Amino acid sequence: MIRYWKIISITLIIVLTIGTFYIRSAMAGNDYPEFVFDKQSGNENEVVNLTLLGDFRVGVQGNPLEISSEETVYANELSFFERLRGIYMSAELERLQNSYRNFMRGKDNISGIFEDEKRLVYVDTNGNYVRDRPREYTFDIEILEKDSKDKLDFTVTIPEKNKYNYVYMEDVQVLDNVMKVTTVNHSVNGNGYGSEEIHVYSLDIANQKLVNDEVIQLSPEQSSGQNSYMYLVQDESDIGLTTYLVFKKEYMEEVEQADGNYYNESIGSELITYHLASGEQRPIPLPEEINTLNSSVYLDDSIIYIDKTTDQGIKVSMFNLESQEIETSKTIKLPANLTEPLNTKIMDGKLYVVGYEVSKNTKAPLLVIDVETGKTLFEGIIETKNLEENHLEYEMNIYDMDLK
Amino acid sequence: MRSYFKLVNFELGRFMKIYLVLIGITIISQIAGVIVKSRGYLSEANQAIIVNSMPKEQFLEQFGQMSMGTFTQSIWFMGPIALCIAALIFYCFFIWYRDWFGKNTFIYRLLMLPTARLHVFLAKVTTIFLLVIGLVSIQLILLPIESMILKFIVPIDLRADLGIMEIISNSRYLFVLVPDSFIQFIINYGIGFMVVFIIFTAILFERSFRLKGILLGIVYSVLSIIVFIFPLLLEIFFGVNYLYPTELFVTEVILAIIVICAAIWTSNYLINKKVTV
Repeated sequence: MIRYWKIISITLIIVLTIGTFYIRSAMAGNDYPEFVFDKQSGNENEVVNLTLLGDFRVGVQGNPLEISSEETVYANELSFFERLRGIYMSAELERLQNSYRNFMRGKDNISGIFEDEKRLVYVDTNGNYVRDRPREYTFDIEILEKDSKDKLDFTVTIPEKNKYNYVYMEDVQVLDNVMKVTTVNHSVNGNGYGSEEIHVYSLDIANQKLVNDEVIQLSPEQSSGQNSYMYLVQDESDIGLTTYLVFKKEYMEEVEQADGNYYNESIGSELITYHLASGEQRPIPLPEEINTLNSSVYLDDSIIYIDKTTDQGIKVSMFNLESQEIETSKTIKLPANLTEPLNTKIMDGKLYVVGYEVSKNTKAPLLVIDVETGKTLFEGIIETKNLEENHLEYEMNIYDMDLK
Repeated sequence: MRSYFKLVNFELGRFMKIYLVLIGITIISQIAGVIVKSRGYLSEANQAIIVNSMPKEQFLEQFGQMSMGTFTQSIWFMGPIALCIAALIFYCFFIWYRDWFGKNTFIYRLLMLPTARLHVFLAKVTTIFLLVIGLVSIQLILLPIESMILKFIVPIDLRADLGIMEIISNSRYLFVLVPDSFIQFIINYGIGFMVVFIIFTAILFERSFRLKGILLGIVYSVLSIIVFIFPLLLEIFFGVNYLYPTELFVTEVILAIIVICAAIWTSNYLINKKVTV
């Protein structure tokens, strides 16, 4: 034995140190703090499904986390295989991958998915890659009939080839035999300036042909020197049928900052709807006092919600697309001590308000307010539990929220 | 089996002197480094707070707290690690060529041993494996010691204490050497040793066919790498990604095993039939 001391001692050192290291790091679990929704008034059922996404930070090192009413999960606590699946995979995509495992292979862009009771559709844009040069784009379409498990796939060339550098999928809808595919087409003109157009393509599924190409356009009041930016308001994780597509366009102006740099400042915005069945486009007639500038817009079936933080509180408005009428418009006053900037989001007809930052000296408020009545359903703060000594100087930033 | 262990022990012995020197350099440089860096920070703090009467809060805001994170980014810490990596990469080649170009063509005696010649090949792979993982272990032992020294020199209000895992995940390079999950550790070093197998086989090609062998060795290496990264090539060049991440992982494990088996089989053939002394 003594002759083999080299191999024995090296192996021993390796097994002992590497072994202890990984066993200890597995046993220790995490010593990161737990965050809880601490109720002050209201009904705690209102926050049962709420998930906050954030980042926990001590010094320079950040660690992404998800806070729900039950637990706080840090990204670095996930096992290797959980990380492999992706930390931020949307629940909808995960459900589809589990139910239609083979059909969903290689299909990970949720904007290209449409699902109803009868079928599951995936549309992808495909272009021959030529660096920064306009190229020919096609739609690669796959349709799965849920009952018969039949799969149909076909390819349709996007018109005006060699005009667009990029064509991004935004949304897919299927009405009977017509498929409506919404894309953002990026092109570069002769001067090297880029521009974007939103197109709604209508495809005839039976004949596998493109039958219509519409551009979403707004009132041509856009003056020279103004930039504009348009996007689809629909949440990309809504993969079912809707009646309307809603777009928001923001006008921007270059403003010189104190440091001499230019940056784009929004100076105006408007909303436009596209009625899928008729193909009719029209701007939403919002009165002067409901200004969508610097506001968040949400679509829930045929109701548009608008929320905007003002000096007086949070102004929320509901606009009904069917009746073309404003159903509610009110300013919700927040408790006087809430002066910090806040995250706001309207989900399921309720306004969720949460602070941006939690730290030793800052407590983030959490509020759930019914948009229609303006009543506060839940009021509380985000509290820390099990805070270890070495994390006293922490900072936790919340950047998004979701309902599970 | 016994002859294999003998050979590993023998190969370790041949590198032991240089190995201990490498470990010595690492220990001295890192321990000295943590002392120098901590003292340097402390004298900066003294200069600012006592001599220039800057408030402590302002000093901390400007210079930040002292922590192991600062130290692991310095040359004192990374320098010896880089040196050890370079030395071991060099030794991957030297472990073979020393047998041919040493004083008395030692390979002649190794190949004459009354044991399977593949044992010589496997013993050399095992040696490199033990040497590499051994250095990683030494680093894992050193980290808490360095952390203790830092705590000893810098007072608590000027430093941020990090756990060993936090020190490691703070440094991009250290995180590759010691990832936070054991599976990732096996993946990192598994890929590393697959490459060692490929290099050794390529060396045997060269030793078997000399100049022509260099070309064969290169072709063989490229082929092996292509087999291993085939699913990724499909995705990059043809946009094909049919596999879910877990399936891709299993595929890669199988491909790595295939590449390693091919390397062992090829080496066995070369070292038995083709190698020239």
